[in-house]
Amino acid sequence: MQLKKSETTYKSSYIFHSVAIYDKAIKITHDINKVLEKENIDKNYINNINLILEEIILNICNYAYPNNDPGPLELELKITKDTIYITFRDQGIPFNPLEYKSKPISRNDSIEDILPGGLGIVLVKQFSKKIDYQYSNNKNILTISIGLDKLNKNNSK
Amino acid sequence: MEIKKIDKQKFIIVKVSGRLDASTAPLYEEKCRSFIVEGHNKMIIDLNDLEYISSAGLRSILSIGKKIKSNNGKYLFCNLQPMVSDVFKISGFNAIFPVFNTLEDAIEEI
Repeated sequence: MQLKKSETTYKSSYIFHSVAIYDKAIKITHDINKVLEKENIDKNYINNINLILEEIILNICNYAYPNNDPGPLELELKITKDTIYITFRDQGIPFNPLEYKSKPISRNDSIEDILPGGLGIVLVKQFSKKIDYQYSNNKNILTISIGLDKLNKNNSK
Repeated sequence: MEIKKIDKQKFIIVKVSGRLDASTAPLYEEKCRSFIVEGHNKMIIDLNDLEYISSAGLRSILSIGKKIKSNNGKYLFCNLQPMVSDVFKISGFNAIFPVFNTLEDAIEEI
């Protein structure tokens, strides 16, 4: 894993490299958390960001590289005053999570019939402000924006 | 993540603390399955000290829910913290599992 800081139009920008093996790639989360703490990001956002990282990393590690041949996984973290951008890049099979048909469980579903797949995508969509996907130069490029102004927008407690 | 079982006369309270994610979800499933094997089919899952849950955690909760349902047991949740509460609402888990604000409320229902 490699950490690099560069000043652009963003307040801060960092790049992390790993291989798409879950136990290895998820360690990036620890490095990102350190950066977020250093950047004084509210602790309440960190759990939401961790969830997005876990769901997308798990997805890439499970499905991007079939035939047990894991390839590279690159993460880029950019921070502005009001938004955090996380870009995931892999060289695996094309997969656009925006086209994945996923829906939350409803009260009418029978517990025995509920299929556990797709919940991760449902959560990521709700915890993000915006999701952009493109497949370019044989890479899946997924950028997730997290607004820093709508903390726990779903928490109506 | 830590899991602590408290035996009551007719049910058990399972206190889950820390993080329920892809790394710890298998342990949740294993522990709860062992409680079912011991004959416990009524359990209150107290999430007061659970700070984080992901879809892998939800899947382990669902798997135990299916097992308890097939045994005609009871599976209640209480004390959800804000992030966990959000995840339950977004996923729809609060529509299929009974969720209570306090442990006392859950005990009254079981």
